[in-house]
Amino acid sequence: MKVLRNREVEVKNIRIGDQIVISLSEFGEFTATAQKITDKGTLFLFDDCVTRKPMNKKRTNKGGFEKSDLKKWIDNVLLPAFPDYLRNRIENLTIPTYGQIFGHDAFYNDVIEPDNDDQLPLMTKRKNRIADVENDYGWYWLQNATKKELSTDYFANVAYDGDADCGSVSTPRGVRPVFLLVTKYLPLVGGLFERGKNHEKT
Amino acid sequence: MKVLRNREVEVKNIRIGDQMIIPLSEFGEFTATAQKITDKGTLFLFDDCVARKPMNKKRTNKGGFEKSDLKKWIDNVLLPAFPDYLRSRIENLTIPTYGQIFGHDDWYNDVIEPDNDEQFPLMTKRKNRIADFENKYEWYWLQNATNNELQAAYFANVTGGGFPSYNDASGSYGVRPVFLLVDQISAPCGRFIYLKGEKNHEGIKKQRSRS
Repeated sequence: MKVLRNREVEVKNIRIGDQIVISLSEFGEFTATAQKITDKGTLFLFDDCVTRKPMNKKRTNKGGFEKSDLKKWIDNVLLPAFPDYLRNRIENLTIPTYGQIFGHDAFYNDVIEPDNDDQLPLMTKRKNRIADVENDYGWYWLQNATKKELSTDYFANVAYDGDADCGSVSTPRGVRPVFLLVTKYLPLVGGLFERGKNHEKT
Repeated sequence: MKVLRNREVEVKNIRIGDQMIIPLSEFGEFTATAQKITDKGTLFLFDDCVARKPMNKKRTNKGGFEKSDLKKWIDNVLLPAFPDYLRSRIENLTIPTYGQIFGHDDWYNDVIEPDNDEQFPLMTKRKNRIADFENKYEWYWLQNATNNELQAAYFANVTGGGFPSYNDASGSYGVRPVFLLVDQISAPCGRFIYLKGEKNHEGIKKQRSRS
């Protein structure tokens, strides 16, 4: 009988929908799904949240995500938790933008600070927008603050049912990481392989 | 690089988590996931809802799911929509029980008419309990009526967020089918037969054990 089965396979070219298993020290094991293939590499989004964190301890969205406590935590705590062979290839470990998850809809136009990202194709399906924390339902943060004229301490987030929402920065919410996995370097001459585990002879 | 990739493969033995694609005439194409392997075959649950229907036109749960309008619709409209090669192997096309989706928790004990089913292993994950209709947020029916002392017109259902609830039988909610796909029939004396009308014969030659 013919069935669709999720199997581990060795591939040269990653496709949208492919998953990788990521062991994060202190956090546990997660899966992340390839969402977009770029010239530089593949954008992977975690299928679930790795923890809950406030965006900022203080009730302000000033400085946006780039100046947030959550961004510092991602750089200083989350990134070092990745295994070496992945960390060497990770560029821009962050959280998703509103555009990546929802595209630019009416709520975005009315409420959300802008981004330049198109909706990731798999995010058109509601179930893919849902991400749990320890198999419990939760909301997770997006990079976009709300417009200043509306609130000075809100950021956009994704509700437990995959719909768009926004909430106060000081409330702990899920962290659903996204990162670019840079394509391995090809040497100009000879056989240079990537450092670390699971060598793939590209 | 090593990745997990969902691919179509020819298999002899179905495993929990395997999916199949089911084209339903008039309804569209759906996927269903293997939830439980039994001696008789594999229990498949649709990943999404195929329609929105009331359990009963009248506001009553009398007779339970077995006497409901929804059961009649499943037998008379939904089953004929399956392709021949699957329909001839389908036994008990129905909707899930509370036990299959949630197990038997406190809320079940307090509110829900009983069933004898254990929770499907994949249903321990909330995302798997969520089933949309036409890619929109949906609640879907379960077989279990509520206790009569609570409400005489309610059936259990699953919310758009994958949590248990109950609603009036006359409300329209999602239909998430579940069915047993019976193993291919084997002939006595070491011969093998294939199922009538089945496309894509896999040549599974299952021999009856006659110990």
